[in-house]
Amino acid sequence: MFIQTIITGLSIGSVYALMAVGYSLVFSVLNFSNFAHGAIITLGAYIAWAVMVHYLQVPFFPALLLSMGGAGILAFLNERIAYSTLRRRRAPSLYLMISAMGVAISLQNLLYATIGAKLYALPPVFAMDVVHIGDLTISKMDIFAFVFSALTIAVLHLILIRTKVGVAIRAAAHDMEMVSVLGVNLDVLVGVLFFLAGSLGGMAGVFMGVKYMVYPSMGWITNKAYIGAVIGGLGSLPGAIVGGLLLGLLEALVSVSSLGGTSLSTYRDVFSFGILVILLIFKPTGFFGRHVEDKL
Amino acid sequence: MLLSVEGLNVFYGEAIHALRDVSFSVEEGEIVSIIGANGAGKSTLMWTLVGLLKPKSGRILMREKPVRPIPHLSVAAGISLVPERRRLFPHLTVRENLLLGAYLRKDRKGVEEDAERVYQLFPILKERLSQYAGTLSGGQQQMLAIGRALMSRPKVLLLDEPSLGLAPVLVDQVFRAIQDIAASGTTILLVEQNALEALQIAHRAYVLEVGRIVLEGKGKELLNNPIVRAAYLGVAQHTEILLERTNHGESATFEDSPPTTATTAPDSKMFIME
Amino acid sequence: MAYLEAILINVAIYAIATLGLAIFTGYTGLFSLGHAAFMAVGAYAASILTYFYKVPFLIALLVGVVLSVLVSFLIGYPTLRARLRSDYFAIATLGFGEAVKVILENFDLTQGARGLPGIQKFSTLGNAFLLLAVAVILCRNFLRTTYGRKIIAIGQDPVAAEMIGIPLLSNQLLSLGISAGLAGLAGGLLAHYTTFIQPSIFSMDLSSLITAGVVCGGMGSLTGPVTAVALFVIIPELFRGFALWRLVFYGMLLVIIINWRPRGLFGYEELNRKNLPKLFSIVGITGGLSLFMPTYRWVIESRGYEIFALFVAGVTVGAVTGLFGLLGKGLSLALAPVAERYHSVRSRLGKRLTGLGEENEQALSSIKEHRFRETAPSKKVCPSDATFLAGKAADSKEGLFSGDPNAERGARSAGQHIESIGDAESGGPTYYRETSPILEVRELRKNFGGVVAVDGFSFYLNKGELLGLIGPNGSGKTTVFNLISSVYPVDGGTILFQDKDITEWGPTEVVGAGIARTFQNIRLFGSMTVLENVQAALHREGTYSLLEGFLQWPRSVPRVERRLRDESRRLLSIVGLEKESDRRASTLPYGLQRKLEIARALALRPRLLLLDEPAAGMNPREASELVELIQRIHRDEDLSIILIEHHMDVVMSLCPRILVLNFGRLIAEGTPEQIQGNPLVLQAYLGEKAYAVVR
Repeated sequence: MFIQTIITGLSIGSVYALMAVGYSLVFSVLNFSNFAHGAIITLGAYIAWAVMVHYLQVPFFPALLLSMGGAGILAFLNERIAYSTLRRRRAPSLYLMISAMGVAISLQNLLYATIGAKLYALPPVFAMDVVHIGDLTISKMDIFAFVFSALTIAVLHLILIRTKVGVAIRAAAHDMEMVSVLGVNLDVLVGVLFFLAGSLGGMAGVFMGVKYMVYPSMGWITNKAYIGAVIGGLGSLPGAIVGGLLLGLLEALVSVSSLGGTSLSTYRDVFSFGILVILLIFKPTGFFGRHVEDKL
Repeated sequence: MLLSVEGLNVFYGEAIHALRDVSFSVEEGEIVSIIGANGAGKSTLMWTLVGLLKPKSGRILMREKPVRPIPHLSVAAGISLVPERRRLFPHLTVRENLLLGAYLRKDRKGVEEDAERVYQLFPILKERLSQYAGTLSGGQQQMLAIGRALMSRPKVLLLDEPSLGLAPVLVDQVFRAIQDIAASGTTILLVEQNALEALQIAHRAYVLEVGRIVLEGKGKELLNNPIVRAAYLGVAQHTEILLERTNHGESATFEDSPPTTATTAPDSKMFIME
Repeated sequence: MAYLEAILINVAIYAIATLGLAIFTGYTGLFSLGHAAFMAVGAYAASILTYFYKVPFLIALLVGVVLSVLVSFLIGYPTLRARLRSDYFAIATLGFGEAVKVILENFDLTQGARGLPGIQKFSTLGNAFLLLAVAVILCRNFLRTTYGRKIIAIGQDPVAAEMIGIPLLSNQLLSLGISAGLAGLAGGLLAHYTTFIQPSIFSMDLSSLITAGVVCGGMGSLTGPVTAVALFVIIPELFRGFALWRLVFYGMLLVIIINWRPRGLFGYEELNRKNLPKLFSIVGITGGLSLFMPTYRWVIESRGYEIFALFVAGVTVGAVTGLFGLLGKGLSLALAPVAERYHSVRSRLGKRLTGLGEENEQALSSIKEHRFRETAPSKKVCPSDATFLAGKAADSKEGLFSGDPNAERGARSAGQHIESIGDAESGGPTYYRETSPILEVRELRKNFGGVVAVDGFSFYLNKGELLGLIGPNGSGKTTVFNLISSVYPVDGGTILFQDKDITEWGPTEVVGAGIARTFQNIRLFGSMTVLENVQAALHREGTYSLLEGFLQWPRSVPRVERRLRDESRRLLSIVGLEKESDRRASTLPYGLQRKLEIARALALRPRLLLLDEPAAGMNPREASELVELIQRIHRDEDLSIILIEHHMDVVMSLCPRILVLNFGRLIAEGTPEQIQGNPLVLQAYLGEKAYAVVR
């Protein structure tokens, strides 16, 4: 039972990590919390719903690719419309955050206003839902989500280590201005960055949709992945992964535990936010975050 | 004329007029120094030349063609900056730092060749290729910053205070390297607070004061200009006496041979531009 | 009518909540995304009291306010103490908001997610607007006190605020407390108007409405956010068919405003006669647009021609918009004489209210006279003689790059002239008035990530001395200042000031002990006026209580405020900025900004002044004026000064003793002549090779 909970936790945690990486990628370069990322994740899930259920009956893998591409493009457009002006003006990061909040509010309510608050299910990926290993009953989707998320993050890691654009992104995380002085077109670089973050978000959105449901507030600002990114240390990829996994595990464990007869599952969210607030007080930069010092 | 600047005006915010009608030019193959006190606008000028700051008015021309003030276009036009305080990427390796300098280039072979040239110029870098740039010493970091800027094969290399925070021995090393680079055909525009070193190696120099160019001349002429000596050669009067002694033949370095040729080793024909 | 009343009450309630956020976010620059939670606390506390315990409405409201304030301290103290970056703080408040919601949902007294029904309807149009008016007046009063100025200063530049002795935590908490109190008040009013509350009312949507109000209304303004949120409540009512699209619209508005008009409606100003037309045009456009559909439908119904209907509707929109625009312009013009009258009456009334005004004036002017007499002799000599010389020398120096070698010497001798006058007057060298050290630094050490910035630096400063600290760029001079003023913690060594060990003291304590400084990269409070910059630094002399400040208590506040204003003007006149006092600090040219920094530092009544490159970016004339200014304040204000400077002539003419720093170590010490001849110094400045050549 315990091991099964751990496996469930790791699985959902890996999807959280996938989302958290998107927050952290953007934060590492532009230094602000991109609250709109959650909305992009949601839209990714809706794209899958539209092509798999509502309009067409596209199979899972093409739909996943469409979602990733669509969410990537949406993230790119999001940056062009809502952030690029501020970025070029070197506005304080607070401004970018407010703009991101505006986008998040707009997009979520756009979904309410057009498609509505109804919950939609995505079709199951596997006909036979579970596998049995000894006493354990594990959902195939859990394993799939875990493996696929891990693979995707590994690919992202390779992109950042091996490709020229990836190295430039890592350099920009330290000093964006200097990167531009070396000849990097920042508009393009930031565009690539948002496309990458967006498509990871799109993939995560589809996984979330398959596991739970598709609904407008699934990626709202207060989502677990964002909290995971903060706990791990915004701007750090290992931090995002650890934070995401940790929250997934915690969520799975709290859901099945009880204290003095009352189930703790209703307090699940209090736990995540509690950890967040405590961590922000004692280690504001998260586990892996870099320390930002005011320079005189 | 390789680089010419016409009537540059740059503002910070509403009130601070940082560069006022700055005009100057750099010929192909020259070493040109710009000296001035802290706050005179030297770094502002450098940032404007690479497009980080947008001038309110004025033009920057490379070989008579206007360069738009956007960083990656400036690099494409052949301007490359070694910024003040180096601004390396400490969490990237030495090699990654160097390769970022060649970001715009597509010719892999050429890039490798240029990397080899940088290693020849600064052999220590080759030994530290996979080390993080943040672990290098100050002098090595300056070498890496220069190497990184050279990787774009610039027509003109801008250096902003390369001697900053370096021990005297290292300052000499860096200045020797600058002369080597110039000797191999890369034009150099140097901004320095260390006016003596800067004027010694310069063919021509400008004096920048509170955002204005107030004086220009041959490097050596300026070195002997009493005003420059008083204002920029630090500890004025004593230097004056010392310099007089120098100029009256106690050392041959200044008088007889232009510094570029004097210190260029025969085997360092590097960065010759086709 | 009931419908109109409902809208207006909502306007008042949300305006109070927005006012609360405005006084926190708009001035401190910290974003709270959990303000709905403070409203929830106020709402639940007040409702439970009136519902279960039959407590009178106003008392219940008050308890709700107090509870909100306490809760805000609970969340604010740990997060603000940790000095979270602004976005981390926003996240913490977000988490707090969610946590409060979840707790309310699972708490018996609050009846969980079902909420509290049947609360009595106590809120009326009358009391809601009365409370709004009171809140606006209190906030406005607050901002015009020392307490308010401290908060504004922190919002502009926290580091600079700390360096003028304003503690961040307590002031940010004060602002958060006021803010939460107002949110709690709004919550209580809301609960007693809707008569039913449940946790989901106090969601992010509510927080975002308030946030949108502050951003769109303009940071640093009270009337702006109030106006904006009023429009936000009214406009959707005009477009009822689009209720679902309301939040889409707010979100888009946030993006548009922050990108293309970050100042919002009235950023850093209040609703006044001059921006009245702007407000009227906005109202006109929205009102006009809301009439479009009804007009269109009305014409279709009566005539039936689509094109005609469109035309009529379009004309209506245009006419209403134009009408309102004209109305605004007209009103603005009509109010001009009224405003003038108001100002004259107010100033007269102000004098009468303070009562002692006249006597004060007399006392003040006698003090001024006294001061003048004190400084009179030097003033008589300096301008006529020495400054003239210095000015002339500087003049010729400017034109001199064409080559007049004598001018520099002229300037130098003029400087010496001033010095000798100083000597004659006080009967000895000005700089050795007393010889006990006021500052002693031993073995000071600082590393930055393995790089040694200051490496066992020891020195002393005598009382009344003017010490020069020079060295090449990057030699650690500014770091020494940062260590003394506690910007960074010290890695090793001790700092003794007036025989007290201040090594471990915080920045505001160091300022309190009597050490003030200026910055190499000027750090002024940009959107404050020149006068306010100095007033902000006089915060310790605002000797009235917070309560008196809120009420602008006529017996104390105006008197103290007038004293602070006069004192600020006096300080500005020392640096020659009295004519610029109403200008925004950021619009001053470079040289004047540096002088304003000096005036602001003097307002801290320092015993020791640290000047970090005051002449950077100045032309020779300005620099020689600065030399004169530093000499004057050194003498008149009885100061000890350490001066970091790269203009050698400035250092040499000002400082009888100079320290030379290189690689964080002291390499030389002595008189200007000794320094000029010191081989190590030459080497540090000229480089080894060059030195070898010249040697």
